[in-house]
Amino acid sequence: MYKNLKNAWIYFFIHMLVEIVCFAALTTTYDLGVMQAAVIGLLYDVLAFCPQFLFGMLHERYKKLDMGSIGTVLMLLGLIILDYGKYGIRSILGITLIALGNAVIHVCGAVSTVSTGGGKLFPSALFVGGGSFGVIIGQTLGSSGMSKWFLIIPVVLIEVLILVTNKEWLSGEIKYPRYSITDKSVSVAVIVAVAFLVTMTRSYLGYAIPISWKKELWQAFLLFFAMGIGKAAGGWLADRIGALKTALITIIGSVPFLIFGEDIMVVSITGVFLFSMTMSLTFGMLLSVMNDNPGLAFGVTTTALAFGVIPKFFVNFDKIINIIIIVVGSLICAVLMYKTLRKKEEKSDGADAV
Amino acid sequence: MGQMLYDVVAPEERDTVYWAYSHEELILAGILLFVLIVAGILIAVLVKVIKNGECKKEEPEADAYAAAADDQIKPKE
Repeated sequence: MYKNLKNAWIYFFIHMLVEIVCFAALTTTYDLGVMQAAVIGLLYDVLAFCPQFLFGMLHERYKKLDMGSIGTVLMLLGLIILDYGKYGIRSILGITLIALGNAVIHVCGAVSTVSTGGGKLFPSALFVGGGSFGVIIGQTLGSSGMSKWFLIIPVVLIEVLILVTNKEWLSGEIKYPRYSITDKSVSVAVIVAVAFLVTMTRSYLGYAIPISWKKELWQAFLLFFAMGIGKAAGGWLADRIGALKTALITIIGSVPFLIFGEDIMVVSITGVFLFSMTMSLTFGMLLSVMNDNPGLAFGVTTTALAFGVIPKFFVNFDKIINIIIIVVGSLICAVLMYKTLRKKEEKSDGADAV
Repeated sequence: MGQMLYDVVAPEERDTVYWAYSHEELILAGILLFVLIVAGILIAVLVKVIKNGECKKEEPEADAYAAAADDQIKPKE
């Protein structure tokens, strides 16, 4: 079913390494004070997620441009400038460059895994899943008190892996495969709006999930690993049983686990795993209507993710309100996906790649 | 800079003047402004791309219509 997953696996590790660098740097600033941590955190989220569609368009315009290496250089510069663990203009500038480098590499990974993915969602989902592993490893390294110069190692590894993948896809002719997981009778504008809304809502809901069992480091690792595997598994399942079935099973199925799993780790992990599986579906929806713009399509989802995260910096609801938000938000997402995803499953493989 | 301005302003005026905000609050406001600008650019880009997408969607039907018209024009053999 999958002709070439080598590129997707390499980008899985690149994504993981990128998040290790970013979250190791960010975590050292979390103890500086609520307001300062909020500034650094929000600055990072906005710069790493919002401008990705612009970098995506740049990638589509200059297809042979080695965006991955540009992103690595930005991250390296940011790391050198960063005043590790301290708050000030150097740290703000350092985090800005690291976040922008992250954004550029993300776009590169998305375009690469789409163009070599043969019209399947799993390669892109696998690439996206690598980030969750990197987040928790980066947070652990960041809180360990190690020197920032150790982070040069993952940055060098990122560049080596990018150069390896460039041989796979950037040196040859770049073709974007066709995706068709959406209902053709629904207008493009509605599909784009639904994909954006669902991604934004799911992003916000991710922060509303009640979790009180996460007390040990290994539990945090387990939670983030479940997220990462869930994101990849969502693409894999959608390729097999179809995007609509995957969306309905995972969105509706995750709700009881998320609500009743606050104190029970296994139940909660199952909910988070199912919840994460929808991640690649909205990207697939956008790819279905923007076949020639994979960078822009990916950027739209990341901008929606950022918009969903922003409220958590300003409002904090209690548990009951969060549960209501999860239930209502999930139901709305399920209905919107049902209305816009294709009902009849057809084969969408590399054969119809152009 | 916001904090420096804050320090030089008399305490009784701090609640009424715009620089009564801390350095961090000004950066947060800047970030939110950036988000609004990005959102505006994204909407403009999407409107353009969607228009192109809708045009592409209609192309096959238009082609079929043109082909049917050609058939009618062609002399019968």
